[in-house]
Amino acid sequence: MDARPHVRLKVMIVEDEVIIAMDVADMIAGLGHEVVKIANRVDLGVEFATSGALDLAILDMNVRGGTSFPIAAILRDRGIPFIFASGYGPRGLIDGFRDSHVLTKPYSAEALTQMVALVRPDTA
Amino acid sequence: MNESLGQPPDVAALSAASAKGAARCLVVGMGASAGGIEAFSRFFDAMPPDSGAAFIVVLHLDPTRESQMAKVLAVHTKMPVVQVVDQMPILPNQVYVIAPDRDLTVRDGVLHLVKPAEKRGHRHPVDVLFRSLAADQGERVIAVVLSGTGSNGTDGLKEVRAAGGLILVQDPATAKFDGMPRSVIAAGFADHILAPEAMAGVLGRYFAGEYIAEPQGGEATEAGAQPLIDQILTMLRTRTGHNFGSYRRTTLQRRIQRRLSLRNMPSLEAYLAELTTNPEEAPVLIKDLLINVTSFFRDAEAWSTLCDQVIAPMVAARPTGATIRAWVPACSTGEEAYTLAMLIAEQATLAGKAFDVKIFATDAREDNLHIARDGIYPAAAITGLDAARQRRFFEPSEATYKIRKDLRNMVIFAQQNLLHDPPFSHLDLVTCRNVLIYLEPDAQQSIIALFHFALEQGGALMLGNTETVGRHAAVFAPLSKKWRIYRRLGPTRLDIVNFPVMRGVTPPPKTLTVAVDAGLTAPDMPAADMARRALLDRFAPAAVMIDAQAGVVYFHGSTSAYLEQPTGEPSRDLFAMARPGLGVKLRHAVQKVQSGAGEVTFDAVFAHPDGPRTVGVVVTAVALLGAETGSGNLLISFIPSVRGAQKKAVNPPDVALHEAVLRDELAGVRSELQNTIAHLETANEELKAANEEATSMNEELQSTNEELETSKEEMQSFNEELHTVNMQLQSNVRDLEDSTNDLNNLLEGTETATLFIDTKLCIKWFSPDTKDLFDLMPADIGRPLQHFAMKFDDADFLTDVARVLHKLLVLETEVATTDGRWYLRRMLPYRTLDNRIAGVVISFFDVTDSKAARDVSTEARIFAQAIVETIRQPLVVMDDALRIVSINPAFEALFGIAEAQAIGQSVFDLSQGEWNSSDLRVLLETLIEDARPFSNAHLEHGLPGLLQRQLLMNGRKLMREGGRQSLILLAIEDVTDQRRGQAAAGKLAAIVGSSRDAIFSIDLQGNITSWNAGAQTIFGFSEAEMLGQPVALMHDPNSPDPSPDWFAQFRNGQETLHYEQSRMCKDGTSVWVSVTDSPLRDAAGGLFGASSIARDITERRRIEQHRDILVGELNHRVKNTLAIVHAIASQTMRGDIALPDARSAFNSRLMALARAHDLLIEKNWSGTDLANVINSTIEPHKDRENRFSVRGPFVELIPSVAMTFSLAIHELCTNAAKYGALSVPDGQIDIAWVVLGPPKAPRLHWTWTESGGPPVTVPLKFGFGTSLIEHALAMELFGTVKVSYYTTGVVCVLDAPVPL
Repeated sequence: MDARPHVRLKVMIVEDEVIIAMDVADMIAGLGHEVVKIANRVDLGVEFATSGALDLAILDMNVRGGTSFPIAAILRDRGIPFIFASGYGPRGLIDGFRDSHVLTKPYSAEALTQMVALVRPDTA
Repeated sequence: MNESLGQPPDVAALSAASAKGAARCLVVGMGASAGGIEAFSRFFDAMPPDSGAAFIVVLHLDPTRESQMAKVLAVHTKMPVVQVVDQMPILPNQVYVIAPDRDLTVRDGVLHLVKPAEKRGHRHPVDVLFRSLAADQGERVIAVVLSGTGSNGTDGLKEVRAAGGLILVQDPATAKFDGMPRSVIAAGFADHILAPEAMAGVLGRYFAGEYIAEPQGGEATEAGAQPLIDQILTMLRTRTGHNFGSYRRTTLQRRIQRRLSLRNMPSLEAYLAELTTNPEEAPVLIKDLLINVTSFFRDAEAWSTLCDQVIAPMVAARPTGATIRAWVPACSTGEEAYTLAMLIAEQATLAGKAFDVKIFATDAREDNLHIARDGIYPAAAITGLDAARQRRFFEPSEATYKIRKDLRNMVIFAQQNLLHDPPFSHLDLVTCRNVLIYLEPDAQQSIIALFHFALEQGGALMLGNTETVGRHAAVFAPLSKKWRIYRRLGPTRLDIVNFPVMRGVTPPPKTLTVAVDAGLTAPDMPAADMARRALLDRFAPAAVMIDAQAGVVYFHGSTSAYLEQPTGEPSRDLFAMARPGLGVKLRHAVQKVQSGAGEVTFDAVFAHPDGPRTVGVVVTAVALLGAETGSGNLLISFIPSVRGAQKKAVNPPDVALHEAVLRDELAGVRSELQNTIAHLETANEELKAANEEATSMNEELQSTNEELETSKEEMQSFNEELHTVNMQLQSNVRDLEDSTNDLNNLLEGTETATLFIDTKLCIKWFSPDTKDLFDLMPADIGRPLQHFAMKFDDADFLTDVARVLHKLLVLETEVATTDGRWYLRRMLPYRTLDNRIAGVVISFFDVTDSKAARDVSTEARIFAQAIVETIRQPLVVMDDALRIVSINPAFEALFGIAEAQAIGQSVFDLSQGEWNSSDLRVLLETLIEDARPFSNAHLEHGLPGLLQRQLLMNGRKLMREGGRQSLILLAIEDVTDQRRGQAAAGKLAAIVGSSRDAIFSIDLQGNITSWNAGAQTIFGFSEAEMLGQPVALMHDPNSPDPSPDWFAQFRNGQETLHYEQSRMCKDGTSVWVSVTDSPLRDAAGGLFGASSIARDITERRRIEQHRDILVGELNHRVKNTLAIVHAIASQTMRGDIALPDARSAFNSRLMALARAHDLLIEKNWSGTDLANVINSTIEPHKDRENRFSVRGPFVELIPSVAMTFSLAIHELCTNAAKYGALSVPDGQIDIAWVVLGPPKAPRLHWTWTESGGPPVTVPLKFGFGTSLIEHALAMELFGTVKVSYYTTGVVCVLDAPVPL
């Protein structure tokens, strides 16, 4: 397990399926982090990614007929780590994001935990 | 070198010559060789007969023939012309011509003929004449050089130049042969360069000039001349730096006067003015003043003496590697220095040693040094050297000889003026020949002193034959009196040396009074020496040391009683100094000692100089031996004797004693006289003998002369005969020339290359055109033919020549030149008038054109033959009676008939009348009649054993020139197979035409060659548009690969290619086609194209793409749904819910989800109606009628909203079933919604109202259901959801924007 001291991260979840979003929020909370935003539309995600205070984002790749890559681009510019989640798995990535971290839906709490540990910013 | 001719122009000879010359006429020596007769004629034509001069003419004459020269020249002058006879005196206004095979010299105004020493061809008679004239005539000598080859004369002119004579040279432009004049001009000897006829005028003025008119008498010049001469010398010194102050005034004056005469100047004043204004005159004058004459081994005997006396001992005494230093001052052009170098080199070689030889050769004239440094001398300069020396020391190159490098390296040339520049020193040898004679006596003496200084102790000095060491005889011992070779004696005498001062340096004050006595008090003198000296002074008798010449070298003690300086110049001569009465005895004693007696003592008595008394003395002469004192020195001591020391006055009667003294003296004189008489007699005898010899010689010569006279007459008559013969021959020659010209013109006019060769295969003659065939030049006549490269290809050429020579055949053959021309080569024997075979005549006729024409027709025939033989169509040629003339192999093969059988048969009889068809007969007969060719006449022909053949025939009548029988040509084509093929092709075409697939073909270049209707249907292009177009026209730019490389794969054996490809249609759209390509091969299997069948698969591909999208979507959906299920499961399991409850809750939730799915699937997942969602969800809870009241307008829901809505309603139902209205039978649930608000932003108001149920309390905790209702739905709808727990029942109110 992660030997680093625990830091409470501010997490944004972008997910159009609200039930999944609620479950993921529970998982995040269960990891001791704070879900600061659940966005189920791209525009909402873009808005928060641009101006919100957050440390990490979990992005469903397909959001209501669009994709979350614009959100990811903003986050990358801000240096905020993010994790894609998609039923397609890494195959769904487009050019420019091929190296991004991807959780294949559905994913377990353990998978999420490991991925967060992998990408979390070392603010400590 | 001939000694008698090679004398230097020494002073004595010069003055002797001039003394006699004053009374004698002027002599003009003239030399010429080739072209000389013409030049002499021109000269004498212009020369007045009374000039007062005598002319000596020297030419190269044939030594074996009598000369006609005198007769020839007699025509051109009124002066008598005679051929020289030996001893002929020279008279004015006469011309003397040299006799053949003789050298001509002049001595004392008499002509001498000498048999030349050199071989014929190596003689230089002009040089010989000039040398002797220079010696005989001195400065009056006049030399003229006219036309001739070679350099004869130049060498002799050196002496003329040195003597101060006049030299005239024919202008090379006017000379037939300019070799001799140019050689003289190049040597810088010419005073005037003139045409022969212009010489008379110059000579006339010169004869009248002061230089000749007032011969050298020394003092004859006017007294006023001296200051002018001085002025000229001063000018030369300031202008050029040459100081002639020490030169003999008389010589200088004569040389200047010579320039005056040459320039035709009336006076010294005028010449001085000329010298001032004309900058070119000063260098010329200096050149004249500094004249020197020299040559290799000049005075050979002198050099051999030097070699024996000096060089050989020196070489013997020194070890290898030692240094030998020599100085040749005033070396002129270097001959003397090189001569010395040669001697040293030779001696060193003889002794087998090697020395570091340094010969310093110096001269004041830089131009001389140039010549010397180059070391290049004319051939004449080295003729005097023996062959061994020439080989060893000279490198021949054309007409000149160059000093070899090793010899050259021994000599160091430098500019140095003997009079003004410091000397070299530590020298072993100085040779300075014929330099001093030009200088004033004072200058001579100072130079001798200089040499003494420069030489090492024991070093040698060599002077010219007439030069002596003069006053310095004491410090130089002669080694050879005759050749003036001296050895340096004694210590270095600084007192006698007057060092030349470096130019530009002030001379230091003279402090050279070196006291000999200084040695007495020298502090470092050894005690023994001091004692010895003191004893000598105290006890030794008075003495003198004399050298071999009886010159006193050293005085010891008081000798005044015995010796005294006579009046006149101081002298060292012992005998001159001796007191009267002592001299004769002294001479006698010295002679005795010198002739071998070691010591001679005598008594002498003589009158005392101071008074009337006699003095007695004992004189002892002792030869001093040993190197220190120098050989030849004698010591003479005087010891006073008591016997004779009597006073006359006291003893006058003592006559007896006096008598005795006189008697003694008389006896001495007598014996001396006897000696002298004896000598005289011997000499007389010798003279008599010599006279005898001379007389007999004269006799011999006279008889020879008579013989010569006789033979001369014979020769003259013989000459007459020759003249006659000559005339005849000349007319013959003229005739021959004419016929030769005719013949040449004839042969050259034919433009035929013709070559005559003799029996030895050498070229005798050739015509100009022969140069096209051989590399010949006119000079090649006489050379062997096989030496020349042939420009044509003819390996048999020389063998053919030999065959013609031996078998007397006429051969003809054709040969090709390397540049592609053809010649007919014809060879026939060369027959002379007397029918003798004298060679071969070879002619070449250019047959290139006719050969070319022949070749063309031959080629055409071969070509036609080849066509007939190789063509696959049967051909038959018939005569006009239709009989077979020839058939080709194709005919033979097709119809199975051999040509041999067929020829001569009528065509209709062939193959048992198979050809006897009426159609053919009609065709052929028509052809014969009207000669109209026919084509493609169709004929069916049955051949034995074969099926009917379909034949096409072309017929043509060949009309022939010259009335010859015309021929019928019949060409047959078997088209049976072709016809069959056409039928099969028709069927294929129908199939292709009706196919719905695109079928087309391309050639190897990728161009379309066929295009069917199916292709037009698929691609839109018509056949007309596509034929010939590249297949790449259909390339779809969006398709990655235009087309596979069909042909490469087909060639590799691939038979069909299958692939799918997008192609471009005519309208710009692309169409997907499935393609099958096959190779097109001809009968032999050669690939010539490809066919392509393309089927339109656009629709199939569209369906496939749709399927792919669906699969992707399905995957996403399933995964998403699974994720939702996963979320529901994990949410359901949260908290401390009992497993049976959890299972039940999870199942019912899944069922709700499934129902929502069903609903969405029904509508193809494109969304559904709110009412449908509600009705479907509440369906399991409708346990009776009117349990639910559902009211509201149509509201469209997107799938995700529908699903969330469905789950939320499911939770509400579940809660109601557990705690609310559905838990009791009478409970009622009212679900109602309206859409309100402005049309632009309508909103949905939705209410869930329970009634009739048990009283409701607010639950203690909220589970997933509540969260789903309140949070998830709100979030999903971007609206608000409120659940209220009224006692009457649960009420849920939702407000959200529409659309949902």
